[in-house]
Amino acid sequence: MKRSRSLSLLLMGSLALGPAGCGGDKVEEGMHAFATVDECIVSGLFSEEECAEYYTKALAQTPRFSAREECERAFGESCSEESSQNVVAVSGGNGTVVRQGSGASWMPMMTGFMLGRFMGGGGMMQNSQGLYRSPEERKQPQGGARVFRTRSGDLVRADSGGRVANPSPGIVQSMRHDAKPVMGRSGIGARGGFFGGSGSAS
Amino acid sequence: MRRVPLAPRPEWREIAENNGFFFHHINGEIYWDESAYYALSLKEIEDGLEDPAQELADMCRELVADAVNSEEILELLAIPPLFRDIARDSWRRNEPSLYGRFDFAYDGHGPAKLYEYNADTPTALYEAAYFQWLWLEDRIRDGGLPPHADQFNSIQERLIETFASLRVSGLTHFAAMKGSEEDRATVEYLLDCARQAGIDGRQTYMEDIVTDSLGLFMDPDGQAIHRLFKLYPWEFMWRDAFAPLLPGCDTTFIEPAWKMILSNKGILPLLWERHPGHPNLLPAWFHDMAKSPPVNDYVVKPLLSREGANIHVFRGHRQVFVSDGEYGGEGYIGQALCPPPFVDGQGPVCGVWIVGGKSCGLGIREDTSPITSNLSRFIPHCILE
Repeated sequence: MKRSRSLSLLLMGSLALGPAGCGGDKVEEGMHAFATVDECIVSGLFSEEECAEYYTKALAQTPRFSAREECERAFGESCSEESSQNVVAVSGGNGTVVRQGSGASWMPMMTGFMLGRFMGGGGMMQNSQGLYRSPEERKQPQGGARVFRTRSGDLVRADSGGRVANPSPGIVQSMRHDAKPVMGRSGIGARGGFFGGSGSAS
Repeated sequence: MRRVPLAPRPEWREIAENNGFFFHHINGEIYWDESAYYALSLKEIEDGLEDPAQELADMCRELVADAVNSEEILELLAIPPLFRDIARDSWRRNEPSLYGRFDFAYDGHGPAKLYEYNADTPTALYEAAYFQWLWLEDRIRDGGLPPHADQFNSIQERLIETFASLRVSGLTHFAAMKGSEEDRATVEYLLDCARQAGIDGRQTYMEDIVTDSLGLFMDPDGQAIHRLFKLYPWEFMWRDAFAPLLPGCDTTFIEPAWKMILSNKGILPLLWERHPGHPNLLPAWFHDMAKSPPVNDYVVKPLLSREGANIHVFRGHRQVFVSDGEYGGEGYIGQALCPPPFVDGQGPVCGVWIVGGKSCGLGIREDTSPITSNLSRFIPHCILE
């Protein structure tokens, strides 16, 4: 016989396998809300460094208001003067620096932060943003689930494990802004260096 | 060798898609065409195709062994200096090759004549290795073909054996370029075979490969790429921004760098020079526009081209056909004209697969134009006598 007696395929055709849909220990897409850095670390989804870095980044981007009333209109009674919060100046990273003691002084209390990973240009990206209590959401739902607001007022619902199942398009959009690639080897050197000629395979 | 009409399996499209074969039509044109099949005798397969392909594969390895030590040959093939060392090193390290496909003009009468060797990025693999096999099993079962019908096809079995022989540990990446379902599916199929050989594989895209801060390759999730199956021609890498990183990287490529010698059409004149008058070779030469070719009817092809691009056909030294394309900058070869044989108005080209160095299967593509392009149709074959 000039042909094989039996052949089979393991995966091909049995399910839709996207290009990134394989591999055992892959980094998965998803949004997660954490109240503290410790909660983030315990989740095992992000490294200790990532949890700290992205908490700090979220905190540094806390909105600021020149008047208490403006802050409370948006975020309720959790507003306080900037000096009362331990805002850390972030150096490096994307260069965000919080100026302490400037004119803008009223900020809401950050009650958590959201860390997310998603596919973006060139691969898996990640980003964070602060989460806040909103005026109308004082009562938290039962069962360990939690509700927050983002700085732009979008509602974020996290299940008891912290997972944000269906983030609104607005939230996804805001996370994509200034997102950074997920790192694994030791930092990103260059990307897109295999871009092909003008043809394809034969 | 006969072309025999046969009504397609009524549900063939569904069968194809259930088996991950979505490029059965390409650009709206049928690609997998089972409204006919080619029937060959065992003698036509073994004496006409299998053995000649094996002999040519062995001749090609001998050619590489000499070429890596010859600046003159590497220069003739227009391989850039940086990549000459990469090719040489990969040969000296004995980096294994997975596969390649010889394309022959053959109709069972007279010896098969080699058009070219797709040594680096051959496609039409899944349909030859798996779906063609499935077709034969189905047709024997439904009575479309007699129970003794057979096929020259242990391609998949051989792919799995070859993957297993690599004895690799850790992750192996499999990449094509974005934008081609055919290429993506080919890579997905090879990943499937690799997994059946116990290899831990992951699919990515060439465009998504990044480097770390040391210039070592990794996938977009940050996983180091130590072994990369690439459906991506070496000569694209010559011009890529990542080219300077290749000598120092810790990635082993499949196909290995020495395959850039064999995927170059310059091997056709080199083989002819070393084996003049070989029954399976056509006269070939490095083409110089200023010199008169040794024959009246010939084809001029770029050293580097794919999908039948930039081919010039001359009859009586007058150009009668030219195909579009953007290749040719590196130079041309000439080859005596040998149109595909006409079998019932169709021009079949026989692609014989070499996997792990062994001649192991056949896929026939046919076209009504004089050049096998990416618009050819795949016609299944069987062995009947």
